[in-house]
Amino acid sequence: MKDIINLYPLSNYLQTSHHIKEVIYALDKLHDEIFKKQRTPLEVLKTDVPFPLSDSLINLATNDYKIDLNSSIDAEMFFTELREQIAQLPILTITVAEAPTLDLVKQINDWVIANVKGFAATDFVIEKSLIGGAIIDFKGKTRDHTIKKLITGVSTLKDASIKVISGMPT
Amino acid sequence: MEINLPGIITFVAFIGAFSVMGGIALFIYQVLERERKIEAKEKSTLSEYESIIKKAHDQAAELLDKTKTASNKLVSEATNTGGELEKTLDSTLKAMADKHTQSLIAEAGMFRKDYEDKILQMQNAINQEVTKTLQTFTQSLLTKTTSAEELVSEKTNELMEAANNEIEKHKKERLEKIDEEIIQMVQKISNEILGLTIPPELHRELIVKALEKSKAEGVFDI
Repeated sequence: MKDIINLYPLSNYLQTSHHIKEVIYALDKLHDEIFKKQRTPLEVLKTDVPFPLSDSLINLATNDYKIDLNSSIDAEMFFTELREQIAQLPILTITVAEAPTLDLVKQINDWVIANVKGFAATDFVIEKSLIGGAIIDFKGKTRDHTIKKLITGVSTLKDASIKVISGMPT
Repeated sequence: MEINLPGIITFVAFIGAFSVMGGIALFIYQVLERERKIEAKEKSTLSEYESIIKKAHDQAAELLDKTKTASNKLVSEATNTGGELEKTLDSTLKAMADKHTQSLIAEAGMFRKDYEDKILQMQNAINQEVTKTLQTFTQSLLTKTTSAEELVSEKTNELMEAANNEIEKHKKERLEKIDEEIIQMVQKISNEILGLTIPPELHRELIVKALEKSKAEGVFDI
């Protein structure tokens, strides 16, 4: 199966890298059980994968992609592809001054779903020295939009002044 | 007819004895005849031997006389020619001595020339070797001197560079420390003043603004 799987139905389970690890763990367990061929994939999903992730996976497979979860081969191919795509999801790292509230996390996830092409999980890093604002890090690109940066900018002017006074090149 | 057997036997015995005696007599005759012939031959041989000995003795005496005559003649001739022979021998010996002396002088000259040539070759070889050794030594000395100068220069440059780097590093550290202290001071003041005054809503707004700015700057472009 080479088609890109739409991950938005699973967005609630892919909000952070921690969530992603849990989903991948569940998919690995599912893979192992399917490999044993003692139970059907549907039975494994219902009994071994935590709710409501199990329901979401069943719905995604059966409703959106018409996978026969009684067929080990079809299910194995689908969930292997799903695992691969989830494992390759980009991570948006947002460094903030204070721990985000649940509302803030939800708001930012909504923003990410609405504004970032494809899909991305969001990780939060706390650094109190930032004072306010956030450092955005995505696929190797970093932008610092914090109050600390503004203050440092003022300090940079001071540095330049000192260097000019001491005769150093700026 | 009556046979006279005894007479026959006597006759036969007589005939037999006569025959035996005749045989013996014949044998004796033959032996005596052979001895006679041998004796005659011995006499003939002895006579011939004596004749040969005599002939040899005569020939030897004749030869001795001839030899004696020849010797006397030779002695006489030798006495007459002794002076000339001595003169000839002296001149021959003198010529040989002269020739030998000249040969020795020539050989000595050649030997001396060879010796002088050898000495000259050795002298040249020694001169070349000494020159070569001196050149090598000089070159080595120059190379080592140059290397030493380069090493000193390199070390001096390294020390200068290290000193400059150390000065730059120290200057940079001092400036960074001053900078850090000022930033910390400003941040401390900002935290104390702004941290208390930034409400959660403003935090949220600043974070969303940061996302919006990043989007505008193309951070999320694929």
